[in-house]
Amino acid sequence: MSKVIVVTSGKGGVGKTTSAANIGAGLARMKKKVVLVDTDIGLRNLDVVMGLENRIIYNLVDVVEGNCRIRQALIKDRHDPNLYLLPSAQTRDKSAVSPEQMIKLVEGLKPLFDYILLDCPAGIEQGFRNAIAAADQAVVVTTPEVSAIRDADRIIGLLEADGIKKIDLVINRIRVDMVRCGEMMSTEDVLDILAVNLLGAVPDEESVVIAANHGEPVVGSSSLAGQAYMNIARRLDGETVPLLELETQGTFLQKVASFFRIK
Amino acid sequence: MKHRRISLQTSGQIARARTELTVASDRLSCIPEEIGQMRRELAEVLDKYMELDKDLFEVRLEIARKNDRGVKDAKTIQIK
Repeated sequence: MSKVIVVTSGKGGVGKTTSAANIGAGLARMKKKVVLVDTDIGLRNLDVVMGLENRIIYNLVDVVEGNCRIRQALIKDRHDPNLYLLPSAQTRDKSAVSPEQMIKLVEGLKPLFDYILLDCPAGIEQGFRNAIAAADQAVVVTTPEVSAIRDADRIIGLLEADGIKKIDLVINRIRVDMVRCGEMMSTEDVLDILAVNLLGAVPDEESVVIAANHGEPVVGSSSLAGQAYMNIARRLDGETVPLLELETQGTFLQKVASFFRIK
Repeated sequence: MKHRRISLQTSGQIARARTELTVASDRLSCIPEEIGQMRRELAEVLDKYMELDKDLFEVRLEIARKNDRGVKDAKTIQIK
């Protein structure tokens, strides 16, 4: 039984696409068959984040309109044979696909994959409606900022109203140093407000930017962000994984200990 | 650097308070000032019947309603 998961956030620029790509790559490393579907029609990004922008021939709209078969539009990842991308169309707009067509498309993908990850566009309009129509569960991505959390709360309400029962949270771009001196909301602060299950917190690291520059995932690298995304993928697959050190507030003694470890 | 902030809130705490207020007012679909007003009025009413520390007083609303599918749709709103 394949799982259909929408990765969404409401607000743009919080790292939805990066998170989708890394969670997908993480699941694929666990030997799961994974397809990442870019549902942002007109503003395609996932292909670039995955470094597959030069290999696109057919796209999601071609499949929906019957110009090609699903298998023809699927692009195999450069590194992982278990990971595929179904790219979005760049020259069309959101009205090119309806929620019903999206459900039909996902039905066609189900026999081929264990995980179908839908990368949702920002906003709560048609593109969002299309993406959530076919999903059984959701991963909401937010950052420790007032605007992003506010939008995440709205999105959680809309997902619940749509009957999506399982909603998990990823808190992205945590600056541990800033949290420590009280200049950024902590994981706990965000969880208190949003009251949903935490899938993981990802530190704001250069490694994420560098990997994206190369069109590669951070998952699989030894960086904290890479480990955080790998843990998120494992938790999503039902494993119980303890939270990374960066996610705990830590006692005074732990803080002193970590301070000296940095040196 | 640090000692200047002793009596002040950190920006993280300010952000949290602002987020709580915006989220609460979004969930109730009313303006943020009304939330503060509601909190004060609730405190006044409760104060008539019990001993209440108005500064420590916290409101937690559980709003349940039935939607068209007949299922309860519950919202939790916390106001500090």
